[in-house]
Amino acid sequence: MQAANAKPGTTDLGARIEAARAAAVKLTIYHLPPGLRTLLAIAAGAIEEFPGVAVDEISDAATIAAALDALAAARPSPADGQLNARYGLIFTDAAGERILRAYKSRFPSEGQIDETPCDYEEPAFHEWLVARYQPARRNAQAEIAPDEE
Amino acid sequence: MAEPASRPYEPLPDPPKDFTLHKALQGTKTPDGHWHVGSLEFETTKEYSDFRVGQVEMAGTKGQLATLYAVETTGHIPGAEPMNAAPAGTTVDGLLDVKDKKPDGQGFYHLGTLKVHKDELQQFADLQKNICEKNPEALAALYHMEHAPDKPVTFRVTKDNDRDDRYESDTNTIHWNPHTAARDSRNGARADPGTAALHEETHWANRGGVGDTLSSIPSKAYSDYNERAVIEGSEARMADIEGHAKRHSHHGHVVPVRELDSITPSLTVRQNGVDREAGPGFQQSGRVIGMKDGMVTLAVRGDGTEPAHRIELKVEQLQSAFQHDLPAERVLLAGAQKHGDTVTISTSNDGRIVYSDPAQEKRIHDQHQPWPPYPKEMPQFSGSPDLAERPVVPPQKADLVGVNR
Repeated sequence: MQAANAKPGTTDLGARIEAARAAAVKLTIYHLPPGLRTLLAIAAGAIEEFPGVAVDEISDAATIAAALDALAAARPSPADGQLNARYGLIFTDAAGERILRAYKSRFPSEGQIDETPCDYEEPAFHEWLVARYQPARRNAQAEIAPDEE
Repeated sequence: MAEPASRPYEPLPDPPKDFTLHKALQGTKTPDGHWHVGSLEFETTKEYSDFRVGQVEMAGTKGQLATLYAVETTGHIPGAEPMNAAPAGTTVDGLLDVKDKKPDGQGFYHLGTLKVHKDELQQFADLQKNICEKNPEALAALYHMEHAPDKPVTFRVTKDNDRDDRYESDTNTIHWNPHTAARDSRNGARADPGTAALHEETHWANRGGVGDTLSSIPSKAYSDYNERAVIEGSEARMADIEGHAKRHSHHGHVVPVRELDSITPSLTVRQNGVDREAGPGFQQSGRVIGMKDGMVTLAVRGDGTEPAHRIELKVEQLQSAFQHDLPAERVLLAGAQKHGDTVTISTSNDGRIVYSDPAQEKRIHDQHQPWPPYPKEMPQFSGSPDLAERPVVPPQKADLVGVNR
């Protein structure tokens, strides 16, 4: 299968996500509180070391699969721009190698996969993270009619 | 005796009754693909969609509609205006006076509703004296922090290894590092430690309906409108006072102050073979047509009556700058700022300032008046034989990237 052969560095972000499915055994989620204000935007690579970052270590296969499902359903596509990261998801394999990194700002579409800035075309990844870490937030997509866009 | 409450900003007026959230989210698409919602502008449909999602997610937050109404109808961003001044007669020494106070069990002095740790009090006092003496807005911020029973604030001076200035609204804590500055990756402007402190204090002042709502409005350059309000507001006014260039984005690098100062280059201008130091009042705009061995060559446009010509700028300590991983054109800008001057550097035929990120490049292009067409033939340059022999070819972006490591 073509997707299974994809390696980090390909421009097909979806293929990178699919490639991670077979090998990912651990997911580490770094997340920052929504009320945090900073002098400078937080680059994707800086979120892991940012003071006060919360860390979730997940080895449950179902949760890892759900995260990859949400990421794939978000249909990331390469885009210009710089990130102010609030979420960082690091998928690792059994050898401890990082096989996929996915980042997102506080906004639904702004993200980065590995080193590639991207737009998430669908809100699935945002909604998965909000449901997990900000359950009090309203489901906005359900309230915005498509014809208003 | 309890301290009287103060208010950094006046509350926004209520919006008209027919200004509903549904109405607040309606945008208009322009032929270039941008979306406008009142005075808000979003570059892409995705960004507009993010704005809408953010507002619906937080629907009902206090002050949301008032903030949206103000931003959309007035073009003015609430929270960017100066804070209400401290009462007449307020002095920084009076606000910092702890002679009759003792630290609490955790080692914090209570300056009204502001907490400062005893081990950090001296640095905090030095900071506040520095910025309050030059900027009444900083005095206002200090005053309001000490008179805010609804949101008491803790100010921490961070250790060297904590390089990230920030305001945490969950704990109402400002973290400030006296040893680091921020460098804007778009225009090279810096936010010194004093400016950084005022930046975070303004976030504290904005916290509430205005700050929360602004945080939910995306902005490519500024991350969101809360950052934009602070950077274009109190921070820009401080930059004016300091004589520094203003940041035009929220993106950039943390730079240790010590290194920032040590790599600030001197600027030598060589024109017609004559070198001179660029002192106060120096200003030069031009298109970079070469950058090598510490020498930047600009093509300077004519003013319609005089022909275009070339000028060389020698950046001292350029190698030192490279060691600190700073692109040369930003170092040049830093040198100009150090002297209180401005240098504009452009490289492409349509006058864009070159940065490494295409999206930034496009934005900067959009924000600047285009240059007149590049002359096909440059007039003879008599001052520098070496340069005169060089073909006048606008450099490709890759050339500069190579020079900049």
